[in-house]
Amino acid sequence: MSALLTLSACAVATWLLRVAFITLLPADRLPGAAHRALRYAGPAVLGAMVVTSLIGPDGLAALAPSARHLALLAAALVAWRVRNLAAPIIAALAVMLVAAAVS
Amino acid sequence: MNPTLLDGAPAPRRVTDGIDRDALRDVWPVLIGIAPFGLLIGVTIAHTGLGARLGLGSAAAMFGGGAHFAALTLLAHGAGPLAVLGAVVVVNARLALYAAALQPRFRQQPAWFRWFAPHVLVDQTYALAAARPELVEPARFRRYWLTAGAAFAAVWIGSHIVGLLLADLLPEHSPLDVAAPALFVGLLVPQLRRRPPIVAAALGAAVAAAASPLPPGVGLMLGALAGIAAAAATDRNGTSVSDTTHAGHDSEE
Repeated sequence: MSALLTLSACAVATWLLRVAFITLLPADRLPGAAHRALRYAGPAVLGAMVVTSLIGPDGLAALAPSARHLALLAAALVAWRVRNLAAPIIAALAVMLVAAAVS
Repeated sequence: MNPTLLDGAPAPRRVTDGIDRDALRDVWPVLIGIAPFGLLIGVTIAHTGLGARLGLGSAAAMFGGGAHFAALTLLAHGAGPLAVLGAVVVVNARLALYAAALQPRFRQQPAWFRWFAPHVLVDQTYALAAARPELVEPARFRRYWLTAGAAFAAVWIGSHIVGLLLADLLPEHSPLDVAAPALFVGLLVPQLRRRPPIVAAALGAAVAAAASPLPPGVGLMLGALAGIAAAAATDRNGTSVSDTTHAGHDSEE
């Protein structure tokens, strides 16, 4: 029962975070500088996401050179040339499969 | 008036009045990326002993992998309600940032959409929408967002169910795990054609790495804030302190 209540409170809190700047206090009422800076949320968040999804639960040890870095490098090169979002993922998976086969 | 039924597109589920094909094309690589994490959470639900109904119900209600994972493991270790709630708020605080960034696209939407559609706002759906700045027309954005969100939700919760059922058989890591970072690389790289976004991404990554011992989501938010601030500063410097070779400069002050 208390787990149910706790998780429900978590769900409500998360929903409030999601609607906070859309519905409760629309972001266009924020100061102009903050509003303009949000244009760079995309690349800033994605840069951070690449690193955090790479690190995962293993901590900074996951940043030691590995086949995953090679795979992501391949993904980056492909993404630079090909606009289809599947292409970099397939390139990264291919590198991982080759690395698994070789080792 | 219903072209989505043609062209070999996947059969629409008739939940909405129109499936957006661009959204489906964009979202399917994302689905490959999220499935392994969804499986992991399904396995976690099985191991915490909270029960499938509560585990899956909270997954749908919270709709955020990192925070849900944190809540489940904290509950399993006997943490109190406030500790769990605090962790969830910290991990999910970045969602408010995404919401602020996407708000212009929600401005002219009907009330039901502004109140409930943000429920499917997660890292990946934010990134998809941010990568398509041309989607400003309200009805078009609404269709895109609902299509991508529904597909995401189906695969996300579906992978939890598979994880729950196969908890004892699944390996902890697989080569598929690289799909998630590769997806983010794929979304990021095409944006790196000007200096401010490059600064934003580099600093975001560096700060997130430095903050990685903190709870999941915190490093992400700190990195994002640092990246945004640095890019905004670069942008300002770029307009006032221009290169000696730089002839004209735009006046965005």
